Amino acid sequence: MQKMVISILVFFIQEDYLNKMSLRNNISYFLIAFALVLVAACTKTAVIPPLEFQKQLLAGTGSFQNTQHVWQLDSTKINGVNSVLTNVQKNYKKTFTFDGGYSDTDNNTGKWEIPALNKLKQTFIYQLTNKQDSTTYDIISINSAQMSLSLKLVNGQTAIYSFKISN
Amino acid sequence: MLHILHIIKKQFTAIMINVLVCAVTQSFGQDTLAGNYPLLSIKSGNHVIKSVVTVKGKLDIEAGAKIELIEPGIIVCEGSVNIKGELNNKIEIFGKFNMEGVGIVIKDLDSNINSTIDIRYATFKNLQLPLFFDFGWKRKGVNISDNYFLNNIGKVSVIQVLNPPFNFNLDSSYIDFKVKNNVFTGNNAALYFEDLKSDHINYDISNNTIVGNNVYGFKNYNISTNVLYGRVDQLFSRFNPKIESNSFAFNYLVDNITDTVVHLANFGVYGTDKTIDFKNNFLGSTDKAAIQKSIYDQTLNYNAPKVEFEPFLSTPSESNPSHVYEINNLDNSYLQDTIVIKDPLKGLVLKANTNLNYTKAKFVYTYFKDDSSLKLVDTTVTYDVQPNGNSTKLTITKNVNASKKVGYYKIGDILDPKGGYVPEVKVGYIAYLNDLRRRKLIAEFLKEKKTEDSLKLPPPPADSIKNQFQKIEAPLKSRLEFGLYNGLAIFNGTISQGSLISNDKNLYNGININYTIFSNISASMTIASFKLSNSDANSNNNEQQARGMSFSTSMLSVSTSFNYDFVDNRLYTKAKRIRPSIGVGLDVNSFSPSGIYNGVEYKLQPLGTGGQLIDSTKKAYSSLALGYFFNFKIKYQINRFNSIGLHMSIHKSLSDYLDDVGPDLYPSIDKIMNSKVDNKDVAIYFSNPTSRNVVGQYRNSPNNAKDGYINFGIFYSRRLFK
Repeated sequence: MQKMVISILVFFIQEDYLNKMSLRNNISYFLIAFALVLVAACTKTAVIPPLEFQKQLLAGTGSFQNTQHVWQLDSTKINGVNSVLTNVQKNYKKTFTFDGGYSDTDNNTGKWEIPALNKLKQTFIYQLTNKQDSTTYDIISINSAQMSLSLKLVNGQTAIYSFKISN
Repeated sequence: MLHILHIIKKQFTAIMINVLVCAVTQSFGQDTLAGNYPLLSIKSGNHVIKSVVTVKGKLDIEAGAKIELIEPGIIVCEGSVNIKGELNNKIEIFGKFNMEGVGIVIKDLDSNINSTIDIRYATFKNLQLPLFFDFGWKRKGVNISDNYFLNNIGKVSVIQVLNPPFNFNLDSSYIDFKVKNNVFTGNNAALYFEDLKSDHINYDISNNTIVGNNVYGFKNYNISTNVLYGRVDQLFSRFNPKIESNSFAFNYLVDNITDTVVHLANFGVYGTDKTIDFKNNFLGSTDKAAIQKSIYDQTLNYNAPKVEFEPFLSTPSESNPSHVYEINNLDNSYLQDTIVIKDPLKGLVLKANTNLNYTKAKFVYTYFKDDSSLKLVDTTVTYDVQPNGNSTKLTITKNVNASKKVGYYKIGDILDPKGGYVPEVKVGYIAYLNDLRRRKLIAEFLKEKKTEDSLKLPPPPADSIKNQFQKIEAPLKSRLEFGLYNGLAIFNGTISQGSLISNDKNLYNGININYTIFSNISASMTIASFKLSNSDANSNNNEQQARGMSFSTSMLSVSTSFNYDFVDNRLYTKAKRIRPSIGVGLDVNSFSPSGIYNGVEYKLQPLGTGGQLIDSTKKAYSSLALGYFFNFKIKYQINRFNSIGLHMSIHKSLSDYLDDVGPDLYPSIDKIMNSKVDNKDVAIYFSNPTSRNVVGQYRNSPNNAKDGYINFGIFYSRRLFK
């Protein structure tokens, strides 16, 4: 590579290339160089990867007033059957902060992460027992207003929890 | 397809072989002569001479030879010369157009005392000096007969004969010099004989046709500005020249400076002798006074001999080479050579010395197209031929030139009874040359004026406004200038930052056409394609960051503007290469904002992100928007046609939706969910990307900015037409 560069330089020096450049050439080169600089100066569109996008939908981007999202329980289905929610359950809210913090209205705190697309892992620290446990939900759907999580219960049944945004 | 290609290949090969064969044939068929030859015999066929060819001995040129002399081509003959063509197989010695060779030079004493110069049935055409007998030459005899000297461009002489050596006085022998039955026409110079009356040369200049020659000189008539001239001295008394039975007609002195005809110029003479015989020639007229005006002799210069031209012939002899010697109107009245032809003639009567053949004649009428330019129109005239002995009536059957501009008629390709060349006839040519001169002066004046205008600044404006709106007298196409624009476009609106430079920058490309209306006013139209984009994430305003919106849109804009140019558009000078201008205009923009949701780009307008599709009282915004702009340009004029420069324009749109964010309340999620929008998830996201609690807020808060954009960059522009 170095040799090639030296050869090119030698060629230009021997041919007195630069001195022979006419005004027209100079202008042409200037225009081309300017156009290249312009292209380079253009803003490139950054596409957020789906995993990162899911995290932002869940907990916000971290920008001003967008550091956490609060999701309120909207409905629950066990094995496809709607469960009737109590008043307490209706007011149940999960709060996900953009930096990975978690809390809910049952006074549980912990952490959250999405290790893979459509997988939400929550690590709880139970207030009463101070024990640590983790649960991994399948994210059925999530958008900026609604979220559906699925969980395999100990008894073998499948629970689907639907949340709506409640910022 | 392959078959067709194969055929094309075959055809192409055949053409190439043909071209090769032709080139080879041409190169072998053309003989180039150069250098010194002891003897030279030039056979029939094509020959080229590009340098000096010296022939020490005899020069023979066979009938049918065609010799092209290309500057500085010349044949120098030091021996005898034998150029003998045939009546129907002539020898052609001619100059190449725009690179005319010289001709033949006869010089020195030949060692062979019997050597002669014999030139017959040859054509000397388009040469600088066809025949030149250099000082000190001597041969036994010279015969130049039955030749054509046509359209030779040199302004020195057509034939120039200088004297033999001084010591020749001791020698009793003499040279018989015959110039007979030749045609001299369309030449720019004279026949010059140093001593027409001589002790050593016995001149016989007879039976020649000398018509339609222009001898170049100045307006003061003198000896040398005649088509035939020489000296007649008392000192030499042995041989009086015989100049008889020649026909002189339409030979003029033409002013070197103006290229216009001064007057007729047939014969000039000077020297110490009292008189010279110039009898029994046809001198273009039967009017003695008119004839006298075409002769320079004692009448004009007391020291010159008197030319005895009476009796003169009233018509040329039939034995002269054929030619037209008089041009009359249809009623047989004499048609003056100074006639100004603005209205087409109805016909002509041409009087010739023989019966001429007009079957192949080309009758052309050339006239100026308008009042002052040099543009000409050539039209072929249709006519009837009515022969009447040697006189022929040509009746024009179709008239042209209704514009009443000066013109002239030219009749060429007339044939003599043996099918030979006949000098062409021109009618109204003198007036045409005068008008041509007038037009050339106007053109030169305008050119000078234009140059002056370009060099000088316009005079200080007494009334500046009037000056800046001066009309331009230039054709439409020369007022057009085409440009290529390149640069950056920056969005400035709802989703943008206060600091312009921190916004997204996108490539801007455009083409432009500019039309100069007045001296300082021009109109232009630009079609541009570019992208606008931006994101609230880049903002340093917390409220905007919290809003979290972003967009990207492809723009196609058509913009028209009026510009004020600070430098006069008509002016081109090196002192004013930098030319700024400012302008205002209107835009029509086509746009279509989009955003990326989960890695996929969605058009935002069909989503109704402002709730447009959930409320029956609203409708989606139009993707076509009007706007206005201000622009500023600095142009650097490289030369009269090319320029480069910098441009910047500030645009404001009349639509608030270039970035999809307009003055709409944040829509209810439930209403979007219940609407007919296709991608509800996407619509919900883009309506409020950060899912904030925004009840009662407008989407374009906090800044409520109007949408617009700025573009700037470089441009190259060019005038395509003069």
